[in-house]
Amino acid sequence: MARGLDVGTMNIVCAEKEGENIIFTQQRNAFLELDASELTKNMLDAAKVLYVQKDDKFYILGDDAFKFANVFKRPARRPMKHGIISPEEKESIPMIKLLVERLLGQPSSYNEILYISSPADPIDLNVNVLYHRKTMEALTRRLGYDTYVIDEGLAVVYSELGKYGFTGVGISIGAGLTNVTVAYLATPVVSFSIAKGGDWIDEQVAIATGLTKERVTAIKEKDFSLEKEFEIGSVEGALSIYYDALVTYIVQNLKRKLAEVTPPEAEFPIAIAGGSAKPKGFLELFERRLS
Amino acid sequence: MSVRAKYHFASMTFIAGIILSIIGIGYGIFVHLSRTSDPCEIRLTYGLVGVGLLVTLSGLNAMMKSRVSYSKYITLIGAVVSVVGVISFLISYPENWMYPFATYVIATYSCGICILIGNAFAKVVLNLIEEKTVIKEEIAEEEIEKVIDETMKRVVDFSDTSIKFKDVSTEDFKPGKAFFEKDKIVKVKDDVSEVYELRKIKESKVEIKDEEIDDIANMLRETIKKEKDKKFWR
Repeated sequence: MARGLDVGTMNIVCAEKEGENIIFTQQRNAFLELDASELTKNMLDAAKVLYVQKDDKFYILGDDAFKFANVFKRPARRPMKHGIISPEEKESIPMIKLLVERLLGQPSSYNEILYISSPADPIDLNVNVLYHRKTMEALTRRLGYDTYVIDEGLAVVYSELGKYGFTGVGISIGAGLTNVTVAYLATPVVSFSIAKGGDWIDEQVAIATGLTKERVTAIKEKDFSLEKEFEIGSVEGALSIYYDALVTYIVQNLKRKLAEVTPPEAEFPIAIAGGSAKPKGFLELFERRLS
Repeated sequence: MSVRAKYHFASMTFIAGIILSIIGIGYGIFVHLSRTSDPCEIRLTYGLVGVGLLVTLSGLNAMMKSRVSYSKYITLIGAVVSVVGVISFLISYPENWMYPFATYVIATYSCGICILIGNAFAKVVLNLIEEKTVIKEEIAEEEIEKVIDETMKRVVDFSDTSIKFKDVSTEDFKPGKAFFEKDKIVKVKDDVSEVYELRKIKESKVEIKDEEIDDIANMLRETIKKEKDKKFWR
């Protein structure tokens, strides 16, 4: 059986088929460094915290890194930025390897097929995704998988636009990037990304409200809704403002890029996916900005 | 004189030339001009048309943007030579209007008109070349970027996937107790029916009947064809 792996800026998600079910395993793509001591080790083991130890440091991995970051009011370290391996984080590749290894495990058969999602080159940031793509491919191949890479936007088209003959626009709004693919009968016509996503919202709200980025992320992910009215000056209010700004920015860039590659009168079905598109009312907001 | 005033003056000269020519032609028609007409009528008609033509061309030259400094002198020379031709005709007709003098007068006037036409043509060509050069330079940078992007994409698509890398060592990292425990999993019932549709499409066995989708497909097909044509002609 084959597997799928989405290595995102915020989460790493593995999917595999088991009978009539799809099993998703998810882990935060983050870690936090703590000084090692016997007391801390006992505490972490007792609390079943996911960590690894190197020399005199503990590295708390995944969701626990975010929880500890909130408690200690320290920023969690992120192995990825803008959808690709972060050049600012020296431990990024070993940390991603540890997280991916743990999520994927060993292949269940020789050369088990694995599809990994990859972002497209951003149109508004001078970044090339080749290094990230090849590195992730190599890491998973070393685990024994027969790895193939698929554009994130195209994966959305394959997953959601089957009833439209796999023709339309697939959009994945993640933490680091917003990926877009225009496909015609399952063949990608154009793929690109926009260098803004959920992380940008968290950063801006953190600056505006004085909270830590991790705290803002936690509030955003808890049960934030774009349909509600919030108090002026509240964190949720700031989130609404920056969500609106992000959607406007995405729609403007989307329209501009689509105008370059498609006939002016063309209408497409659009599928939206990604963690940053989760809040209630997001789709309605997107439709309002699109019209 | 300001640029705008110069342009207006040149336009007025051009219009005046056209009016003179029309008056000349109109007068010729009005008096039923022929070889046997009164010499004054012939002189007035040809004089008006001759002056009208040279004034029109001079105005046209003055209206055009000069790319070379000596262009206005060429216009002036053309106009003066034509005027000499017209005056010579007016003085010599009909008494001295005979070979070879008549030929010299016609040649002088024609020469002046040719200089004016040639100068106007040269101005048009120079303006076109210079404008195109500017556009070409602007396009060139965009095209270079596009070519680089396309080449990079091809590199990505066809680059060797069998490059051997040494494994990233994580042996120094000692895992904690929870490292080997299973993560929280989410089960979703899904028969992944779209896979069969995708396979059909990939094997070109699908028939789409929805008219809206057909329209979109047709438009996208045209776009892809245009893109391919563009690449082919590059």
